Amino acid sequence: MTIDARSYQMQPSLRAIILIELLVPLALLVFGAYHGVLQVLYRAGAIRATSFAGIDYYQGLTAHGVINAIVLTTMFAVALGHALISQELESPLSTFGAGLSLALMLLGAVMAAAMIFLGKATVLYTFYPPLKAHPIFYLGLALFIVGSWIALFTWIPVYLRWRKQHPGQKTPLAVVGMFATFIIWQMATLPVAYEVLVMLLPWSLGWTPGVNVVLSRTLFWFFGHPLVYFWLLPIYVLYYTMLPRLAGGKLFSDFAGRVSFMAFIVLSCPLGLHHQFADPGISSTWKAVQTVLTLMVAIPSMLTAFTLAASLEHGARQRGGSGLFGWWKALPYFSHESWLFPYLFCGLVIFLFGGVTGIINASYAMDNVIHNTAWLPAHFHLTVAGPVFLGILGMSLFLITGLLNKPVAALPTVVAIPYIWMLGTFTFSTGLFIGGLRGEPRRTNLGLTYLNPASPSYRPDWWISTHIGAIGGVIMGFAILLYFIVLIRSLLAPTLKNAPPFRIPLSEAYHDETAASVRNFTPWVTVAVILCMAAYYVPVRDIIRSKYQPAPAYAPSSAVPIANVR
Amino acid sequence: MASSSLPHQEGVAPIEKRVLWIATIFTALTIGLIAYAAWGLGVGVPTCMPNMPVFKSAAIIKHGGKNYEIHFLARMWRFEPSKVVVPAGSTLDVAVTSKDVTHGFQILGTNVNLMALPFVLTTGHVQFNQPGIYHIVCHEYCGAAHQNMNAIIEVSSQVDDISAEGLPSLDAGHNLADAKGCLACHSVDGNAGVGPSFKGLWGQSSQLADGSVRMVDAGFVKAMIQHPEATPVKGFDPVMPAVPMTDDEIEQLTNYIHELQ
Repeated sequence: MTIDARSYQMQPSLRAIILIELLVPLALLVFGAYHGVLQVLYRAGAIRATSFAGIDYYQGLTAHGVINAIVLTTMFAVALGHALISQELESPLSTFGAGLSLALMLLGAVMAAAMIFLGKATVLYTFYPPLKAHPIFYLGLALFIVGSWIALFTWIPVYLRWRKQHPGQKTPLAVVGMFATFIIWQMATLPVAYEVLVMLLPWSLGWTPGVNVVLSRTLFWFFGHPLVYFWLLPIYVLYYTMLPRLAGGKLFSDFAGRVSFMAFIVLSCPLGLHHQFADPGISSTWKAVQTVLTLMVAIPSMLTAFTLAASLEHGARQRGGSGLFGWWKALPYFSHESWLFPYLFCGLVIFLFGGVTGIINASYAMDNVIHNTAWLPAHFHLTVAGPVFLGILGMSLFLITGLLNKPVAALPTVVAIPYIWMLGTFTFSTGLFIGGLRGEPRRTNLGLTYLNPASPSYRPDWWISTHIGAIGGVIMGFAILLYFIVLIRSLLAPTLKNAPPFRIPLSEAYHDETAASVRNFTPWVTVAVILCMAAYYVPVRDIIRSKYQPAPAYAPSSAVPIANVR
Repeated sequence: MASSSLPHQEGVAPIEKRVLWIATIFTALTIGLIAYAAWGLGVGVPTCMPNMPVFKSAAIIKHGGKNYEIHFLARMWRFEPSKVVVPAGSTLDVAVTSKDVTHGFQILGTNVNLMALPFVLTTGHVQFNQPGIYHIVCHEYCGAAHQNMNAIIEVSSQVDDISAEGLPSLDAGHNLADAKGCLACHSVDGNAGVGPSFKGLWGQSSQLADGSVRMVDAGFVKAMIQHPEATPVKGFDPVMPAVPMTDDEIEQLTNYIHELQ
């Protein structure tokens, strides 16, 4: 019982910071999820208008992306990192550092959200120039990112002190995972910070006449793919450190977890060109090189899949499961005691399909078939809206109720939510996969034209796919509605008396290897930086040498450049 | 929980090493298949073409037989040309660029799937043997009317040669310039008259009589139409009168000069 015997208790200031970091994005999610449901209705032609209830389709789509994929995911990662690192390294964190990080993220999120809701930043969450948003939108994004950096800076001294005080000991796996997450984030966000602060902000203020579109897209996608891993890795931490114990057993291999996290550090950044297969201005040779680097991620991913399945089997057998496959029946699918289990388990099942379709997308010329079609959102909703979102929902509820000493309300509903969500996500993605293969474009208000019989662009062959997508989206919306009811009821419940101090229960390892090769971040980060340089040096040099004519700014509402309007 | 009483195992499990091997072989096979598709079957992705000039307006170029080159201009919120009819068996080389923001260009049912970026050229190649309607869809968000942006390629066994609709017409702008008397002093063939030729004027630096320099853009064109006396241009007699025009007419004339660059 070594783990639970530790005496560390979280400082009250950190507890408050974590609660704000979990609750504020969940409050924003009300709108992010609302417009998710609205989008499937627009796309199926159930809404045939540019806007509904005062919010334009593309404005809502921008909010859906920024709130769900950037604000919610990042603030959750920071909150989880604070909780795990302070607990596992048994140390308080700097209240000033964690507080400053929170303040900057909140300020940045409010600035960006305000511009979106005022209709001044209808540029989607990828904000491709030369469509231009209000400068405050770009500034808000930059502040938000800087705030998330400061979280890492508060952890580093704590980690270094722990290493000094515990020579020869392995760093706890959860800490390794959170550091891997934020090392990747730090590497990935530097180019996009350059894009936003040096290229887009002065341009949006009218100080520079144009922007290099090819360069800005390349910098964005240097960030855009590691962003996906940044969403996923905190959930990997939950899978490696919590899921085995929730299943009733131990992590099959501690070494596998450490290898996976280090492999992600190395392979997360030098592969963004696979989002630009269809782009001009970049040599197909370098697109091919980055294809190979992209697919290398399949190796640690398959190792993870094996380790987690083996851990689940180990847990199931402790619970009395037997037989070659019969042990699957012994897992706590609907257990009220292990109610977090289905959130992680359903996410894992969804992720199998997200991973396989990801391999398809990354397969070079295969992109010609699916690029920018509805296939893409079908795929990434099986990652970010599968394991990531379910992990965030479950773990947020776990942390919020744990830190507030509240009971989790309506447990039968709580364990049903991930299954309803999984049903909705699979239905939604099935529709979008089919539609994508039939050429249905993503990011398009289909109801106005393609799904409108009165339009010359009407495409009856997209009717079925958009309607399957809409059914799935509505089911997903229903699951979130249930979640909010459970969350509010839990928050309103009376505080538990005499509750033991809150700890995140973490798994022990079944195979607890020495793991000497993966105990130190430095060599892995060094390899990662060298690989990034090697993979990007020539493409970026070519783009800069090509001297593309700088593109003047456009508002989404007008075909006349903004400079000419003035 | 009971987990703490469970036994530990030392060292890496042999099955884990096997899994790593399987994963590596699977990944290598996938990469091999991709390489075969790309170089064995010749299905590539767009690449960098620094030596090809970017066109300014849409065009159709006949290369003999049923080989055609189409320059598609993507702009908010239409493609030029908007409809192309080609005989069955045609081979098309398409070149695509954008006049304004980022657009997408996918010919559904083919391997042509491109991004159209402003002032950057990209190309695709496709052969049409089956008669039918092939839709071109803009699949990147390009502003408020993105969902209206599409075009059609009709492959027909009834026609012998290519035809197109929606190619840019300079007629309206030309007629307006004629009607307002502009063409009296401004030619459209590049030769200066009383005033500079409209052809090639757009984007030029124009030195004013007071020594300052202004670029010919929409603002400058408007200023010259409304208050020519305020900005006499060096090298030309200050004889241009103010021309009464509505804002719409000014925009039309501006576009005309822009197209003539």
